[in-house]
This record gives sequence, structure tokens and C-alpha cells, in this order.
Amino acid sequence: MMNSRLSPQHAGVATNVWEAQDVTVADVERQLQRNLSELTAPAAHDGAAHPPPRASVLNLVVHADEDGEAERASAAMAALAIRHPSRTLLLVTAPDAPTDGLDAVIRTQRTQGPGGQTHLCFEEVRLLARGATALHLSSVVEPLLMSNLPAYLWWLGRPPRAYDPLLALCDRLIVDSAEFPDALTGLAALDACAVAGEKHVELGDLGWRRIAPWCQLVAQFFDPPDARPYLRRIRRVAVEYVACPNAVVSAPPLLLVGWLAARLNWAPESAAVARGALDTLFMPSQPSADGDRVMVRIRPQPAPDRPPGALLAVTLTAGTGSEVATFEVRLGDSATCGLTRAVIPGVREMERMAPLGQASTAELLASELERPAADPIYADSLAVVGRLVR
Amino acid sequence: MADPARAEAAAPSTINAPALGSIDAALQALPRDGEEPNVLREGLRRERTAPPCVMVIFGASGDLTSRKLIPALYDLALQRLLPPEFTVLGVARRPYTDASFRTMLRETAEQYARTRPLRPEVWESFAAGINYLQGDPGEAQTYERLRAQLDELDRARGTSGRRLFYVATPPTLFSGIVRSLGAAGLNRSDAPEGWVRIVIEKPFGRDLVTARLLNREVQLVFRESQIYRIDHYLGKETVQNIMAFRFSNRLWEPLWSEQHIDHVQITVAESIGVEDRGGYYEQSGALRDMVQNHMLQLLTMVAMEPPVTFDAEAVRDEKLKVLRALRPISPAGFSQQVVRGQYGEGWVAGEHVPGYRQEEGVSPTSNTETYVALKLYLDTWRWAGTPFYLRHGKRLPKRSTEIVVQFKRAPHVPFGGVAAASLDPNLLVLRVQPDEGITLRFGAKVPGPAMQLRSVNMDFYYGSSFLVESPDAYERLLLDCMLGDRTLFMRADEVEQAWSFVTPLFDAWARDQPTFPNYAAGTWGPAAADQLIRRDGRHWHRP
Repeated sequence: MMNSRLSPQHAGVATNVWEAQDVTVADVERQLQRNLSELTAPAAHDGAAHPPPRASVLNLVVHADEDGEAERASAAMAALAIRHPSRTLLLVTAPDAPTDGLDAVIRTQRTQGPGGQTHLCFEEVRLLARGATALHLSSVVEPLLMSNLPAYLWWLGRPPRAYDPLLALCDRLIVDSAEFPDALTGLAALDACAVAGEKHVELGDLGWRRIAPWCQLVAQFFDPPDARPYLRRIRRVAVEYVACPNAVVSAPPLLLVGWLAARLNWAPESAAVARGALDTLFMPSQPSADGDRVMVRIRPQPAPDRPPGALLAVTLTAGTGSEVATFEVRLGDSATCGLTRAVIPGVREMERMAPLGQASTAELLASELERPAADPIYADSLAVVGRLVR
Repeated sequence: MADPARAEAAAPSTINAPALGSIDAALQALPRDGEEPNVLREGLRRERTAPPCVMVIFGASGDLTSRKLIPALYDLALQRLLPPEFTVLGVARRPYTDASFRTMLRETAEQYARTRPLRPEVWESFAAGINYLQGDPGEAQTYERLRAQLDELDRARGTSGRRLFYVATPPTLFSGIVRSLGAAGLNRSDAPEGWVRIVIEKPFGRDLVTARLLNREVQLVFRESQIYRIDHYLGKETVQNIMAFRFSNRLWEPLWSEQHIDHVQITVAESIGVEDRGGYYEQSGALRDMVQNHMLQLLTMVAMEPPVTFDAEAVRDEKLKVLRALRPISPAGFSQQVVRGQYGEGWVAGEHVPGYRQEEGVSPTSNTETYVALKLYLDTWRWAGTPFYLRHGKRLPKRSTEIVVQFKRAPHVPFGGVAAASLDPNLLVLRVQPDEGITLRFGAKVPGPAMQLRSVNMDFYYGSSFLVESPDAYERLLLDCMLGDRTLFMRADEVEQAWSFVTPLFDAWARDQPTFPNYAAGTWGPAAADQLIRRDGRHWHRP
């Protein structure tokens, strides 16, 4: 059962949609070629002297366990609009379906660049893998990847198993740690993916991107040279986040603490977790004479109007006695701004509202896809969280 | 290593007083005693945000401040690239208070910021650091008050004696402000972490003599390492991309010489006229307004040798060498190499438009040029004999800036006359605006039983391959200033070298009377410009 239509919407923009059930990978490949040549044929684009260029940057493979997830991913990619990267394969698995096989929807689009003079082509292939086919996805994906371009795997929901064959096929695994049902074990499992197998898989995490503005604001406290010495003297860290319904620690505070510990070279000594609260002791890289540890407390706070798991505040206390300096970032009333406050005794007290951003999934995905190389800072932070679990 | 082009690159340069500048830069780059790096910065998007500093804007009530500077600073704040201590002090004659100055700036920022609408809480927090000092920049007393207020701001906001002076006034006030800053001792910082920098807007003079004079005046007060001559063109992503394209690829550099390149064309076409800047343009003209600065900068980027590193002195040394290699245009060659034009009435984009002499603020007998075409040679090993054709004009059919590199034909085409008849030479087009990107033209076989060839274009469209938005040129340049990176700013010797090439053209023009207007608005310039390139058996490419 096949159905194809070319729908010119307005001048210069056209979408070609093809749907079919029970197809082979070869059918999909053939149809992709056909759609593209229709869109790029001289008759199909008005006045341009030559065929529209294709933006060929990468392959994006999206893995979803259910239709709802796939819909959300599809919406996020639609929001990327003309900034869409090359070819997208959206895989939806239904291993419990009564029959084996593959259903496909191919959407190719020609659109105009921001200058209005250039045409661009994009394509999205949505595949429903039923029954046993769902268990052999890499055999479906491999022939459909554009050659000589990196392939990124965006895995929705909980993290994949470390030995999933799709991982071997892709150069980067992207997850959203905010979607993990249990962040502590989820992040540890993700850490395991990075080191599994012979091939090294780069990791990306939309949840990590989401807390980047927090990290930036915390780092900024220590830019002025007179604040720099306090960095090594941090002895207390308090992180507050929005309590989750299932009373487990969410990913954002764990990643933030993991980041601080990794950058400042703190070694975890002990960790105790109960009902969404986590207490950890770290050995600092330059222990003071009295053997002080760095005490980290993560605490959930009720905040019904905020997304569960999100950061509310981080407070760093550095130094001892009358020399104690504090540095705090706290979510403002508007949720897109943070109040930053630095108190350094005898030096200055500075307060301001700083933008924290509230990036959409599409924007986070865009910035993740834009990152050209591996992110060792994330890998280090994740490794600290992994050690907390072990 | 017998490559002479490389030998030339390694030769010591003879620029003006470079030693002082580079020692300065080296000293600044050294870590100070006891200063440890901010390890939390590692891997964050920008390695460094600007250090706490005060930006003092002269001419703070003008358009540049409200349309460009403040919106760019706000966008930097929005990206968390400004420190909380960052402070602006506007200086001008108009009677604003801090509050009314902020209100005025907010209204324009609503209109001109890259990210709109403004986020009220971010604006409020940013604007809390904006102050205003009413004063006449011509009076010494203004600078005494300025000094007092700067000391006060250092205390209140922790800016630690770091000061950035931005001269956004009409050029007539430049030297007076610079002298007064010197007289008031504001040209140096006594604070241990302090620095003083000065940003100067173009025009940097109006010919070689005035440019030299201005440079000397500024250099009497500030060291070259403190001076930032801003040409916003260099802050454009698209212009920087020319260097990225050339020097990050193995593919082009071996072909990038007279051996394989037939000629280069640089076109900066504008479809607009002089708008409401008639009075200014009368004093300026196309050669001063666009060619002397922007187009020669584009030329340097296309023609320069690979710099050793992408730092200020290495890049600017190479650019200077290109300008020094420009062959002066002799009186004999003048008519063959230089064409000027002025538009008469005509039709642009379906609209009837007046001629230049009918524009507001323009003399009805004006001889100001609105079009220039040049044929240039660079006397270097790399470029000997390769002509560079430059053209710029107002009221041309469309807006377009592009660099066309035309390669020589294949030395031998084995397919015979008919097969290759419709085959054009290889072409590489670097489109700067609009629709930034790259087009490569090459020959391919037309499908069918016969060996017939045709040229095809392969397009790369810059915007489609990256998922992030480009920052405004001023955002980039202001941040560079605060970070002390002068790579994208013009050095004194660069400016003077460009003027020393261009100034004789004015002298030659002054000797005879042009027949203006000589092209209709909405056409590609005077017929003489076509002849200039056709004489060589070439033609202008249609952008």
C-alpha cells in the first residue's frame, strides 16, 4: 500500500511525502532517490539556474520505543526548520507487534534559505520496525545512512544497553538525562556506554546542555583575579532542585556536582542517598591542614509550578572563619533569569540578574549537533556520578 | 624549502615600531604571579568572558551608541559574556540623567537588539551599570570630572582600573578627545590589574597626510598596543570565513597563485543610493567610503600568505605585506586601470529613483564618484601577472558582495572542439552577502552517447550547515577589545599603506573634469568599466 504526493505550498517551498506499509529497505532507498530528483528537477524549482543544494552535514538517527516519544522528537526537529541537518532516520520500535516488518514515511522538503535566493533540501525517513525487525535495527539503518558523514544517534527515554548494535554504527550517542526514570543509575549506565566495546562512542546529553548556563554563571564568579583563590577553598556546596514525583534525585544537580568535582579534582569518599536527598563527602585536591572535606548536599524542594528535577539554587561556601566567601546562583521569579550573588569579605558584594535561558528541546538539540568534537568535560562529570553509584 | 613564497613570508617585516607592540602583547599574555587559571572555564563555550571593565563612550547621544553599541552589549550580556561588574559611562553634551539616558537607550535597543523583544529583567540588570556624564568633550574640565567619576565607578563596581574609551563622535573631534585624555592622565592605568584601551571608528583620515597626522596624534598619547581601529567589516563572520576557508583546507592553497589563477574579481554592489547621507557622501565618495578600507581588506584576505598563527601581529603583518605589494598606478596606466562613475536617474527593483545629483544634500554639479572600478596588480612571487579587478557602486541592480576566483583553463582538453565548446574555466565564488556561501564551477559530461561537456555549479550554502546564529559584527569586536585581541582591528601601518595606494588616485582625478552622470541607476556601472576588463579578454561575472 503506497501513497505519494507532491504538495507545493507556496513559492519556493515544496514537500514531498510518501507513505507505505510492509516495505523493504531497498524500497525506501529507491523512493528517497525518486523524491529527491523530483524536488531538484529544473521544472520543480522556479527560475533557479541549477538544482538546489543539499545541506550535507550529518546523519541523525533517532530511536524511540513508542509513538509518543517519536512525535515529540519529530516536533523538535520540525522546530529546527531550515536549520535542519541533512538526513534524519526516525526509528520507532514495536518488538511486540504480531507481525515482523517495516513501515515507512518519507518526507522530503525543499525550502528557501534565509536570504530567499537559495533553495535547500532536507529529508526525514520515519520507520516503524515491527516484531523481529525491531531487534535488528542496525541492518535497517546502515544502508540508509549517507556515506562519509558522521551519524549521530539520538536515543529517547532511558539510556540504551551498553552493547546495543546501533551504538557501534554511530559516532555519537545523544540522550536527555532529564528523561531517565532514575537519574543516578541512568547516568551510571550512560557512563558505561562510553567505555563499552572497542569503538569509542562520544556522548551528548541535552540535560547537560540545559544546565550549561548554570555552569557558566558559577564559573564567572571566579573570573576576577581577586576571587580566584577561593576556588580551591570551597568547602561546602548546596544544591536545591525541584522535587520529582518518584522521590529520586534528578540529573541536573548530579551533573552540576559531578562537574564541580571533576574540574576541581575532588575525589568522592562517601555518598548517602535518601528520598531525593544526597549527601556526599569529597576529598579536595589541596586538603587544608585540618583535613577538611568538601561537603555537598543535594536537596529536593517543592515547587509545583516548575519542571520536576530542574535546578533551583547552587551555593558555594569557600574559606574558613571570618574569611568565608559565598557564591550563589538562584533561579529568579521568571525562571529564565537567575540572581547571582557573590560576597567576598572585605572585597565586594555583587548582585545581579543574569539570563539563565530556558532552551527548548529543539534549541538544545541544535547546540548539541553543532558541537563538533567530543566533550571531555561532560565525560569527566559523568564519570564522577558513575563513581558515586559504585 | 626552496619555495620563494615561503621565503618571503619568513623575511623580517619592516613595519613601524612593531617591537614595542609585540613586547606589550607578550607581557600581557604572561600569567601574573600567583594567578591560577579559572579551571571551571575549561570547555565552556567561551574560554574567557570579558574582565570587569568600564566602557567610556564619547558621543554617547549619537546613533552609533544607541543603534549599534548598546544593542551589541545587551546581546553580549544576554549570552552571559559580560561580567556582572561591567559598566558603561556615556559622555556627551546633551542634558541626560543616568535614568533618562537609560530610558532613551532602552527604546532604541527594543528596535535594534539582535534578540528581541528585550528581556526586561536582563535589561534592567545590564542597564544598572549604565551611567551618563554630561560634558563638552572640548573642555578640559570634562576630563577632570570624568576621572573622578571613573575612580568612583572603580570603587563601587569593582572594575579595577580597566578602561575602554570608545570614540563615537564625528571625526573632527577625534584628536581633541585623544589629547585631552592624555593631558588628564587618563591614557594609562595605575591599578595593578588595570589597562586602558581606545577604540577609534573610521574614517581614519581622508588621505595619506591626514591619516598620518591622526595616527601620530593618537600615538603621542597611546601606545599602538592600546589602539583599536574598528572596521566593522572585519567583524563579519563571512569575512573571517574567507581566512578559515583558505587556511584550514589543503585543497585550495596549492592552486592559489598566478600559476593556476587567471584573475580575481571583487565586487561590492549596493542597490541603495546615498539614503539620507548625501552630505556625508559628498565629502567621501565611493573610493573613500568603501574601496580604501573594506575592499582593500577583502583583497588582503584573498591574497595574503598563510599567517603563522591567527594572532594580531601575525595576521596583520601578512595583510600589510599585501598592501605594500600593490603596484602603484602610473599616470600612463591610469586610464586603463581606473574608472569612476556617478549614477543618473533610473530604475532599481521596479522603482524609479533619482540621480545622485538630485539626492538630498548633494550639489547639482557634484563630481563625487558613486562607482569605482580598478584593475590592480600585486608584485609578489605568488601573484605576479594576475590582475585583481575591483568594483564597487551604488544604485547597481542588486545588493551583492562576492569574490570570484577564475582559474586558468585546462592546459589541454582531449575531447575536441565541439565537445568542449560550452566549457567555461573553473570558477570559485566566495559569496560574502547575501546568501553567504561558496560556489565551485567545473566541467562535466552531458549524459548521452556523445562526449559532450558542460559547466555545472556546485553550491555550498553556509547558513544551511550550521545550526547557530551568527553574532553581530559589533558583538564580536567589542568582546575582542575587552579581551585585548587586536587581530580584527587595523594597525596604523595598514591604514597608512592603504591610503598611500589610494591617495594618488584622488590627485589624478582632481586634474580633470569627469562627465557625470555616466551610468543609469539600476545598471552595472559605466561602459568604461566594461571596457576596462574586456580589453583583457575577460568580463565581469554577474553576481
